[in-house]
Amino acid sequence: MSKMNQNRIQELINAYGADTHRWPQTERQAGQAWLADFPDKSQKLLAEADALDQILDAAPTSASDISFLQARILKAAQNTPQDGISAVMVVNDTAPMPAKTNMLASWKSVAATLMLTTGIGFGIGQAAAADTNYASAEALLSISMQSDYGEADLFGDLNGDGL
Amino acid sequence: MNGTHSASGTTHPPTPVKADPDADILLALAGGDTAALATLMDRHLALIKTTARYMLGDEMMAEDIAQEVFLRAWKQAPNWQPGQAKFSTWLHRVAKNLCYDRLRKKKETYLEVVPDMVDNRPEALQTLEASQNHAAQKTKIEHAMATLPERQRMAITLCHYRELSQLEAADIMEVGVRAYESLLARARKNLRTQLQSHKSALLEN
Repeated sequence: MSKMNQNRIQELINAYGADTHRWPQTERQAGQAWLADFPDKSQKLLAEADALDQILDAAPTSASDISFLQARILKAAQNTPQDGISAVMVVNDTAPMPAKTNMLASWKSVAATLMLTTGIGFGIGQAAAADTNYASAEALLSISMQSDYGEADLFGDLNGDGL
Repeated sequence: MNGTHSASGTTHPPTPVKADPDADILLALAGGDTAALATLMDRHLALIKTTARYMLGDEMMAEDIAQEVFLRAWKQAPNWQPGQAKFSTWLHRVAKNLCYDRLRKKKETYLEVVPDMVDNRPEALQTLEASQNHAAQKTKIEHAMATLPERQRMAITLCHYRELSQLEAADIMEVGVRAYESLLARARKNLRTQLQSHKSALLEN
């Protein structure tokens, strides 16, 4: 069990709120024990955070049925070729991956290995880059893979809210 | 990517990738099997859409974001390299980036929709007033959320509404756990300040 003191309890409450099930798992048990050991202090520390938790719980939720959305996405996918697969190939959506595509995938795998060994990888950060504004970020990211300057840094610069 | 990079340029060790719970369908997805896409959506669509809903405060935009996320998953599935991160983490990162991008384009517009009053009976008016009050309180919370910097909003969404673990949320946000915690603390502090004057009314509702 990790060590716990009032300062850390305050930090946990400030960040995660009064409900201990949202606290980091590694500190939850020690935190709960501390709260039980010092009920008077705990009550004071938790009161304000608990009020905010309750207010946040009242925020509007997304309650709509997603089955329509799911059908819409499936329909769009049927008209969307996958990378390395021509539009004709996705018309029959139940067809297995063509051998040609498997060969292409194998080639990509070899190419990716070569790229990684030369320090130009295709990683999750690049794959996760979104929308047109991220096109430049993606380009920068391919450089960043070599320069130890990652996507989070790019977001930090763009956000301007300082970490 | 070999690790998570912080804003200061420090490289955090990557979160060890355990067996990917979606591994069973990724091969089929890469092979163009729409049934695998349907299964993927059964597992993650609702959560992705919920995250986008809290981030953008708009149901239609949230649906558009969710659609884009899964279409990208569909298109890019043949390129997926297992072992780098969980596929669901990748999905959430795409959603996060799309939300950030949409927020930058979105103009702040808050339209108050006042229902037509067709029933003038006292009890009906009372119900209407209560309903309007309730809607107004929700709008205040949404407005407070909307004023948060995007990364703080994402942090509070992942922690409070999605109840993701600290590690998982930090991984999606591509920051270290301390940075994630700092974002959360600042988000909650900002929300407290924003909502302070409405606290009593909000808690009554």
